[in-house]
Amino acid sequence: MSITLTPPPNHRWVAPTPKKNLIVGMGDMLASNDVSSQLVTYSLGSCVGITIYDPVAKVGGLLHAMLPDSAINLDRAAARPYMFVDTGLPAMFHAAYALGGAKARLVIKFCGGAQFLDDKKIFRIGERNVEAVMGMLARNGVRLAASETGGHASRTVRLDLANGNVTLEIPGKQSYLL
Amino acid sequence: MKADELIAKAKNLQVPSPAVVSLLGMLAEEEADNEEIIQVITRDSVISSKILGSCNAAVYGLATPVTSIDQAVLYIGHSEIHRLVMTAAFGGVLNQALPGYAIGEQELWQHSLLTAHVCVIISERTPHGVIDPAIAYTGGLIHDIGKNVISRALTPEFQGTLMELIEQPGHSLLAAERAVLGTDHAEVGACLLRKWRLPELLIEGVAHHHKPASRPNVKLSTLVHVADLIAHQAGNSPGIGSYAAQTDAAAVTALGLEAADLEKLVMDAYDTLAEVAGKRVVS
Repeated sequence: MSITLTPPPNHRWVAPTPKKNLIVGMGDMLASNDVSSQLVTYSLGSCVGITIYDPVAKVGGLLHAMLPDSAINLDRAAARPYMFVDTGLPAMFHAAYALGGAKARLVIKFCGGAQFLDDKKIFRIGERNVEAVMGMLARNGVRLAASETGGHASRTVRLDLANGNVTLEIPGKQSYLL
Repeated sequence: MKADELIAKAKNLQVPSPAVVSLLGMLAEEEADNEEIIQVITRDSVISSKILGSCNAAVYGLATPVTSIDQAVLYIGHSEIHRLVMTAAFGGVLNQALPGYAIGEQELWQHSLLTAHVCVIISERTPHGVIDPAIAYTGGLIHDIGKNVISRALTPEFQGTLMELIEQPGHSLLAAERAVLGTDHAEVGACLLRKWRLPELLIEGVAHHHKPASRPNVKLSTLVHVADLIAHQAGNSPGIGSYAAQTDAAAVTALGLEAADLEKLVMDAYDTLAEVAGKRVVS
């Protein structure tokens, strides 16, 4: 009697190298062309996460902005532009251009802006952040490729710099592609 | 299930020492005299050695090492000593990972510390600041302590039901906990503090932090409610249903705050993050 050993279909003999995590803090931004890495930001609540990716130049950026409008504190905006949507968003686009990204090729995805159960609308930060991003993109004629905003869960976001895939994670759930 | 049944089943919960209980009692009664505080702390050797260890750590850069609690008070001040004592008392419970809520190690601790800081910021700023900063700090720090007990009862099956419930529009985490377990983390937390004989003032702050009583006057729960919401928006917001929380507009008004103040508070809270994040629990 003989036994034939056949490997399962699509068998991989070499495990893929784990991605390096480049962590984007709150009120911060990173742009990179390191294809062996992914940009990660943890636990977006009312904050918003915007990813941009140029699939040709393989350049990506991830912004984690906290508040909609820098008018609340201009000194702070000068020191930390990425805290605010209105100052952070243009700064991220410029960082991507500096690495060779082209505006026409950029794929833009958007998530975050969670809201509390807020009938009286007193904590509107999440909602205002989403409005600020949508308004700014529309004014600049930029189209969104995908988005997932609002809701009552915090989200962790990953941008794979090799292919531009954006993965979301919600506590207690499997991660999924945006 | 009742709150006390869940607590009875929870093993290995670090109980605050008698010194911590009497210290909080003295602060709540507002009869805390400097010497008495020092005496109470000195009687607790574990906490004393932690305080001296922290004082002599490089951050304070003291030329000669501190060897007694009264010296420590002189060097780093009352509020810092209070924070060290509270870290020693509750850090062990609050820094644990809570798999029932999908909360990682240290995540709830970071949120608790930030909430405590925001409680102090608001209590110092509002004209209604009738709440002692040390009590405000403690209330913010331990507001979610009940989650440690609830998490143990949240089996994967219960967790699934909980998540389905909070995905329905308008359903809060608190209501979902009630539907699944018959109690919620605020009630369990309050029950735990009562069992530990902590002052009524703190029990109120924890019990009602999601449904504060702000009339006729501001209570600890009013402050903790608003600080908790700000901390969620300024720092990490760990675990299942962190935004499935009902907001109370009356609490905001009772503290004399307006919408614009809330955004500024989020920004100020964010500024304390680096300081807060540095305070890990070392056991």
